[in-house]
Amino acid sequence: MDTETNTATEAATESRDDTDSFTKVKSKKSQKRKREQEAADMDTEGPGASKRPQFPPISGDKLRGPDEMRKIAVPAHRYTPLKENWLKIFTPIVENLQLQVRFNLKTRNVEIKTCKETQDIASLTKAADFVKAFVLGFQVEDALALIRLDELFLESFDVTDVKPLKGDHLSRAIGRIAGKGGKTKFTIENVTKTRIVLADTKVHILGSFQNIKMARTAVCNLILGSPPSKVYGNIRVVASRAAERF
Amino acid sequence: MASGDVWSVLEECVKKINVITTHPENFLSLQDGAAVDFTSLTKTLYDLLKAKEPADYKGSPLVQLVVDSFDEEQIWQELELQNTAVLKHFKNKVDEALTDETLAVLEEKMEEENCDEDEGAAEDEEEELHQQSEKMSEGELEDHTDEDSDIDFDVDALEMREKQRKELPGKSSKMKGLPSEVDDKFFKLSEMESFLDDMDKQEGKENEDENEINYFQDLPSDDDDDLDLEMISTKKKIAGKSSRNLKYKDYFDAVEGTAAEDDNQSDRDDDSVGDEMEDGDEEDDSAGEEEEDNEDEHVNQAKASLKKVTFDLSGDEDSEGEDLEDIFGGSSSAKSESKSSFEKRQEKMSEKIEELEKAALAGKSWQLSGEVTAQTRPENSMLEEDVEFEQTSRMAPAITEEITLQLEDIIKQRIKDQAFDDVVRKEKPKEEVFEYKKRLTLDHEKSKQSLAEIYEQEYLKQTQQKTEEEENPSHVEIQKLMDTLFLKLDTLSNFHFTPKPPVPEVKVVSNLPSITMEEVAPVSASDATLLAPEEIKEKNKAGDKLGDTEKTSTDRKRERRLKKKVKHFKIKEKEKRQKLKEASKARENKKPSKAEVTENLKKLTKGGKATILKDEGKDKALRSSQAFFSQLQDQVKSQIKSAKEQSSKKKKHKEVSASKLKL
Repeated sequence: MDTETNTATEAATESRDDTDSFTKVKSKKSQKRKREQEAADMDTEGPGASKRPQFPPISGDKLRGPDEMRKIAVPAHRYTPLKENWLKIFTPIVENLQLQVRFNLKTRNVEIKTCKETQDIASLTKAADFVKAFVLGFQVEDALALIRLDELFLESFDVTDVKPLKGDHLSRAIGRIAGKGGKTKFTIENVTKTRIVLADTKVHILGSFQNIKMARTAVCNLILGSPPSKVYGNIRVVASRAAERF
Repeated sequence: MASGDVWSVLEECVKKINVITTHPENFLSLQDGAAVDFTSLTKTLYDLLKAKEPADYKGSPLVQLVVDSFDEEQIWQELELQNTAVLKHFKNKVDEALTDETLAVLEEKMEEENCDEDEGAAEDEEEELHQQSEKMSEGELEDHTDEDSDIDFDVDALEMREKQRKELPGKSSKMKGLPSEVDDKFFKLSEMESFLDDMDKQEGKENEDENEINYFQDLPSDDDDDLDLEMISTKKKIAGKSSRNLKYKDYFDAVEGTAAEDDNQSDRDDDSVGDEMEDGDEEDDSAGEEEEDNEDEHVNQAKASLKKVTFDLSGDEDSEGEDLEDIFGGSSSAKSESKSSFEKRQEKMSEKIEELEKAALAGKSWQLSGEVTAQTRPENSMLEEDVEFEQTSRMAPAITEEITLQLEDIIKQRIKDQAFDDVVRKEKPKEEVFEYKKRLTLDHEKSKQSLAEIYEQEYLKQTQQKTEEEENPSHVEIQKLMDTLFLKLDTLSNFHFTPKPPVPEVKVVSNLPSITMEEVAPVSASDATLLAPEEIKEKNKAGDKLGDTEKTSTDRKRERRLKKKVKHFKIKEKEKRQKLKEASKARENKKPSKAEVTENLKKLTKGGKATILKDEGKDKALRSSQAFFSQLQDQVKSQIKSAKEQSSKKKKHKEVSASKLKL
């Protein structure tokens, strides 16, 4: 409170000095304002004689509310990769986004919290998305793109969503998506500039909106039964068209 | 003496009246003094009349007109007593006069008139004047304007008639003048000409009269006693002349001067009769108050009816009518000469009004009646019309000398500059599959760069492209030259060897066995080539080639279709080429070559429509024409035989059937 008053008076004096130094002709209006300001300075606690309430600008500290927190659950099979890449995970979060992150061993959750130093409240969501992507199965470097770029999204869907498959058909569909040694998946990734994670029946695609669409179409075609060569051809055409546009 | 007294009294009355009526405009307002004078005048006249009345005169019992403290209405009633009594008497007298056979046509009547005038001149005059004064007084007691006009007209009519009487002899003398060669006992040229002129005038007037309907004309009704009287009188007049007594002059016009005189006299008689009639009318009218207003029309009608009656019944339509018309024409012509400017203006106005009315009532012309098609307007009428319409499209430029000169200048300049607007042929960029693939190679391996790096690179590329485009090609050249120069300088100046900086080279990979490229000495022979087989020859779109046993029905069908398509295409090409050939070599080789001929034959026989006749080894026999014809004959005979047999067979069948039927 005192600091506020001091700063207000300082501001008033500063303004006064400025006016004194620059303007030689003193208009009545300016004099009136000065008087008002003085009056305001005198009565800092209550509203006083002035009609409009004077609020000095508030610093960022006051603006932020209580600290927010996000929790991301980590499944067992990702536990070890998390441990291995922990450094790479928390470094960008803490240093670039100014967030507090920890791994709760009891709940097996990665907890991210804002603190005093966080400038942007949206960074919390970014960090959460980044950790989530890693937990889903993406590489740290690929997931890092989520922090760096705004327009990247993460889409997940199930193979059975596209076509109700059971048993061997399902397995075959998954095999088609993957290809020999992951060939098909990599091809799609390279052409559409996305990252695909194939976890049993779930498919996760990371990338920009247009690219996700392309990749999704390709994957769906594979699920529906078209041969990879055909899918390659289609992706190629679409990708070239997209590339021409930009 | 008595008459002299009467005369003096009358003179005094007349003088008084003249004095009072010098300024008729005074009568627009009430004139009490004049009224008193007039009443006194009436009284004096009435008393005079009563004094001079004969004993057996059936008048009113009143000896004197009582005026003192009597209302106008009461004075009127007194007068009416006198008038009604007298009216009857006069009527009877007139009837008697008409029915009197002793009274002849003109002369005697004239004499009578004269006698009457002499004897009862005072009376007549008295009566006339009395009537006139009465009328005038009555008129003044009532409305002034209407009666004055009527009275004026009557006076005018009387004057006119007097004039006419005077004119008659004059006219007759004029008509007799100018004897011509063509004149005959019956015919006079001058008469004919004058007749024609009058008829033209009449026609002009009749045209006016015929078109106009005189709304204010009083049509004859049954209640008019006067008209009946006239009719009766006219009938009586002509009835009096029995058919035996009708003479030449009643029918025909004057042959010579003497006859004309008689006619004129008869005309005069007619007129006089008419005048007498009209006098009688006037008297009756004066007695009857109601008919005063209609007097104008009556007089006119009397004349008109008289005219008509003489036309129809006498039979001398042309002559008598013409004479009458002459008279009245003369009167009207006299009127036209003396028409005032106002009258002329009025005439013009009325003509204009007529025209406008005609135009307004008539239907609109096609130009003014909305949408018009070719059927509703006359032929080629649009050609004479000036039609205004907006043209939305630009007009074609009018070709003038200037414009052509300008164009030619432009053309010349273009030719000099060699700047023709030729159409550039567009070529579809045919992309080799190979090249296309190279552009977008499918990397089947996991990408070495992370997603973030990929996007980073993309972003950088986008931003850097802008900066790269701004580079000037000249700058690039300069840079290159400088580099080479500095490199040379460096090599010269440096003590230590500095190798050339690596420059990106275009690597050309040739399809040769790799072993040959990498090693000079052929250590081993290998067929492995640098290029993948797919890069040498494009893989078939359809997939691997299938053997006959491996093919499914769809595959087979697909192949067949493809084959057919290809074949069809080839044939079309061939045909085209053939046509071109023929077109080009049309004049050179009229005879087709053997190959072409055989081909044509094949084509024709293929369809099965034409068959090639093959001779069956009878060539030798056909060397001579005789042999040929004999063979032909044999063939024909055989054919006929076969045909006959067939027909006979048919007939047999028919006979069988026919017999069956009969049975």
